[in-house]
Amino acid sequence: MTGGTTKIFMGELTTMEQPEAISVDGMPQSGKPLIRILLADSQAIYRVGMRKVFALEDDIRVVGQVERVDHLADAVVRHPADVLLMEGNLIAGTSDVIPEIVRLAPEMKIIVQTSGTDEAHTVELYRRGVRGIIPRSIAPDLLVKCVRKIASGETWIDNQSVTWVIEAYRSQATSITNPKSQPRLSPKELSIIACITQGKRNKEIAFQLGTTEQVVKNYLRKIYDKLGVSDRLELALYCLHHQIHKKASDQEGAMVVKAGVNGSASH
Amino acid sequence: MDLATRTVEEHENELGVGEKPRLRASVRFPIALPLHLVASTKQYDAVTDNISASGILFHLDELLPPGTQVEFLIEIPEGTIGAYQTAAVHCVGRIVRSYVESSTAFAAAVIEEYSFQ
Repeated sequence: MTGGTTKIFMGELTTMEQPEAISVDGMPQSGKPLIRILLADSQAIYRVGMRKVFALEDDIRVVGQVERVDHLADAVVRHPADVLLMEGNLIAGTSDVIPEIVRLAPEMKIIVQTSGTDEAHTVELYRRGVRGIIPRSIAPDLLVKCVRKIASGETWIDNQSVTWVIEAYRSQATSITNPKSQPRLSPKELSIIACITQGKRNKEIAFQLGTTEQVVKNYLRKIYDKLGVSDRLELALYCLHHQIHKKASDQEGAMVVKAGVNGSASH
Repeated sequence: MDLATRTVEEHENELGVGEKPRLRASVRFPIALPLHLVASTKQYDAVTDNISASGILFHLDELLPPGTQVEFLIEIPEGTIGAYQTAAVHCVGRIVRSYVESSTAFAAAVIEEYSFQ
């Protein structure tokens, strides 16, 4: 890249001038597809440093930068990018920033730069849709390599994080198939599940239960969350495997018997 | 009986959400259920070894070559998931793996589309 001039206003978004090496069709002269990067970092020194690193690469172009997380959503919309390179501290203590970015720009890949890593944080970032986690101290050539890999659709993950993610997957899979960790379902939820396995649509279920389709949707979302399943077939399989309805009717029967015994005793 | 064929997109629309797929893959449930299968106009009876929302492993008398398009009906016994009659799931899929173990033929298929019946 021969480098266009740069305008930086602290705390505001800025775009770079079109570099001379970029042809009109958006392809760099090198022939590689252009990778557009959005930088989100609270520290100017890092933003400047990263831009200098990327300025040496013909196929990478920084299209915007942001200093604060509350400017991020706006930046994502105004400056379409292939990769968002974000400082981990910007999203510390938040839980909705990454899902919101993923919702606004589902095609954009997110890389998070962290000062230190821990298991829960790492797993959560990957779970929410982050494609790569890198240290703040990453070497420039490795940073460029990481950006290219992630832009091409790969995931950047170190050996330790692979172990953490697999462990999280295993424990989630274990808890979903473990009968001891079953959540309780209300009679209404059980009847909705029964309707689903009979092939009924939400509208039909709503009609049968005397409620609205939206209420059925809300119930379904709650059931999916409770059981950790993601669609109707998985829901049916879960109930079949755990004999949910049999247990529910057994419990119901036991309560009727108990009520009967108490009723007899009082007479 | 009403069919309720659903693609992933339809399912998401139905929930009224545009949730991204989770990191977790489909969980396999070790459930043995009768299975009636049609492959290349020939019918087979099989039994499931495990089922997930995206695939199925079953055993049968013949080895089915990978790549074979299949249609199958998984029978759900009466009363097991609330229905006081036999329910069934009709699936369309493709054989992705097959092997013989202890002289029994096994096949794994992906489920591309399903509907409760």
